Amino acid sequence: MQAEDKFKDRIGGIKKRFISALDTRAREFEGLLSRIVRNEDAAQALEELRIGVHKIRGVAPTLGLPKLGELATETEQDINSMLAGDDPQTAAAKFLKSLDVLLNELKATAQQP
Amino acid sequence: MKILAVDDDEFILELLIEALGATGHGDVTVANGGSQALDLIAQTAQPFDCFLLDIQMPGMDGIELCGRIRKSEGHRKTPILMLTAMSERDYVDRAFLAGATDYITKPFDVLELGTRVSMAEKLNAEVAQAQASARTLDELTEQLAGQPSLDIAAPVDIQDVDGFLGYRAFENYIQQLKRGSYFSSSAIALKISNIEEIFDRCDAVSFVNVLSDIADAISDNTRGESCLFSYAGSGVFVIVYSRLKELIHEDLQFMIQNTILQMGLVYPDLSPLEVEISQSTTKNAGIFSRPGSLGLLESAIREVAEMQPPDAIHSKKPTSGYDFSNLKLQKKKYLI
Repeated sequence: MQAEDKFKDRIGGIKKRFISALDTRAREFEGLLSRIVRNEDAAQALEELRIGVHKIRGVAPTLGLPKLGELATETEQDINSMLAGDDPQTAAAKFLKSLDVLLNELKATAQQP
Repeated sequence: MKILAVDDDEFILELLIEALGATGHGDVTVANGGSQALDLIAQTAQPFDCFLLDIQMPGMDGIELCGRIRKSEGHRKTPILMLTAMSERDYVDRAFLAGATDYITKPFDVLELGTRVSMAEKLNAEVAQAQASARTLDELTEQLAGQPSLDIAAPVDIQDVDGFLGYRAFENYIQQLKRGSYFSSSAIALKISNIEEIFDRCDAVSFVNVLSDIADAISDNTRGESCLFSYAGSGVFVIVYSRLKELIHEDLQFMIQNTILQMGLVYPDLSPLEVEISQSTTKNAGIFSRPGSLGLLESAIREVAEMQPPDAIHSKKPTSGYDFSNLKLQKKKYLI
């Protein structure tokens, strides 16, 4: 058996646990978004959100979830723009939009059988 | 091969164990952060043969951890592969300057991971072979003094010079540059035109020391986060930089020669050591070139290798007043 096939055979359990944690992850992100919008320690919340999104970006494609990886990449880039202070209103609008799409994908993936 | 993988994400650690296992590397220990990794390194009876480090971790990040591993007993040459979802050039440059051997982007591809770890295993075998013949600087010095047994064409790994990478790590760095970073990269090569004379008149230790002095001079004249260089052998240094951030002066060769002039280099018999430098034109990665291609380096090296010695100033010792304190490199660490 080729290495890639062996790998796919072995990661079924990891993928299942990853997916089952996505709903919780989405709720965590919503909580962080709420803190950002209410400006309650917003900078810390944004950094926590970036770390969480970054982890999804790094793991999801390897588990065979490329769309989730792409959306996480886009959201992380938008968070980085926010952190870099690029045109605040445009950056915030892009960030809110990409995070919304990511949250929907997280919830949809979590419903996968 | 005994591997230590460090990442704060438990899923990545589990995936690494499975991916490495599937590619025949089953002896994997994991740590969830820099502190735990350092504890494991200190406690283990049998040293690790390879490290896989995530760059972005809370607390001690992978770059700091890489630097600390490099300074720890027995790991000066152990392969360190950085694992990162961040392709930003600054992070990658910092990782290599901290001592990384290679890097792998997340999400990782199983075959690529296996290939790169196998390359690390090969590197370990080469290092072990070299260490078998010379374990300490003193032993090496004794063996090499008076015996110019180095291969003049071989790359030399110089230690403790800002911006310098060993040639293997340097090639890995170029090959892993992502599309945007690669297209904004430029390379120039510098050739020590009289390298054969220097090689013939120096013993191996002195020859490495001269190269180290020249590397110091290059480093002094190319300071900047996005400028890295290496020694390819045969008297050729290659510099790669981001033209978005750095502007390498077209007269770099003269600036370096002036710096070397100030050093007052001498041969082992204390006669003045002249250094003649030729410089290639700047080579830019073309829009149609393949990202990660070594063509950028090769074209710079090829051009400078074919150049005739310059008519320009030579780096000579001052006509009077040797400063023998400049013979500092006798104390420098080096690897061959």
